Amino acid sequence: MTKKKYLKGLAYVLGTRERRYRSIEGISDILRANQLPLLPDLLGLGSFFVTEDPFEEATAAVGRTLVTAGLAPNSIEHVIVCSSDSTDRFSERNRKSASLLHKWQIAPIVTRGVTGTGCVNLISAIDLASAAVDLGNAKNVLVIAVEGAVFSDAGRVLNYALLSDAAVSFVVSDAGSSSDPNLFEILATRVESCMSEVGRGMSITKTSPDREFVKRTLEVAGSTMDRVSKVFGNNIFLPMKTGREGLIGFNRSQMYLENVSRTGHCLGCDSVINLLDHGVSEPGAEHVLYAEAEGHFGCVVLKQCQPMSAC
Amino acid sequence: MRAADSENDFDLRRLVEFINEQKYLPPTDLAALKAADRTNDVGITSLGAIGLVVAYLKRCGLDDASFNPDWLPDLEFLDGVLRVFKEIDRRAEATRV
Repeated sequence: MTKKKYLKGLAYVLGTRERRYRSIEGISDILRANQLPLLPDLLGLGSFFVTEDPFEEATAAVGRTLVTAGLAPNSIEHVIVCSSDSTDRFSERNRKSASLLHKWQIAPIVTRGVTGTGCVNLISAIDLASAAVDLGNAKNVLVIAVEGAVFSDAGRVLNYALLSDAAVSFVVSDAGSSSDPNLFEILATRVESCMSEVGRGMSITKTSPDREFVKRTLEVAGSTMDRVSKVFGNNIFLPMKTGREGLIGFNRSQMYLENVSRTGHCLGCDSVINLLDHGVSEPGAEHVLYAEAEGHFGCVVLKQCQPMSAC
Repeated sequence: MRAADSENDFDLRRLVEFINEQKYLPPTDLAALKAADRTNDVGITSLGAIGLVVAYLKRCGLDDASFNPDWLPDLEFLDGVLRVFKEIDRRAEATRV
């Protein structure tokens, strides 16, 4: 039997320097090479954020998580760190993780890394954390996404997004009671890989299995597409984002589009950043976190809780 | 290769002109479009086709909210692009009424 699980202490920190898309030398040439027009409003081109070391942002985010979740450091039994890309070797990465945890006096029994599925890594981490709670191996799992300091300016301009740096942290917990206004019950998680797509790059016009994948996850959650208040997905260029989320079956009013131009694509961090920026919904509101990356798909169904009480 | 008729030729000529105005797309001509079925056949990628539609929306005075996700599968084919352009024309006309 699965236990009730909650998402609490959600926090994010964007890269320390905000820059505008026009500051990238030759961006119009890069877009042209990808057969995209330099039409900022229609693509959703705006700001992006840069850091020298995203572990600095991650350290700040974790501090906020502990405070907003009202958790003592010694209540964290497991830690999962995920990144889409990293230039660090294992030893350097390990040192940085240790430094972060030491800063906040967190001494987990288990630490894990999640990688290999790009922007889906964070949702994969939620899935993994939920399993740890279900199995009774942990009551509180700290999840940290660390994205950034990997790309050159030109490397940030993809044919579907403008990359940005950020870090996100939160706790997957078996305890719903919290003063945190951003407390959510995790109704379902799902991660899948479609091997006919994996390794073939981003497929913008593919229609399946996206629609059925999200529907299956909603069914497990006891919900439907119509009941979803908002879907929080990747902050890719607007036409691609509305196209993909529309093909899945979401209507325009369900999509959260504001951060495409405000933050750019912070890889795995996008869905949680968008969820937080959307603000607190009515208790009982159902949301979907969604991510996809070159053949990998991830979905989490959440229900907004009232603070200071279990759902 | 699609069947030729005067209305289709007119639409294809308009499409040729519009494609050639987009400096981020490979230049083309009427003969190439007549001989092709897919946008990829004339060197336009799926992303390029999206950019083409986005640019046409802007040309017609419509914003990105008018981008219909149901168009995405159509954009793989030149006939699909023509259908989408006609729908954009209708929407633009409706906003002018």
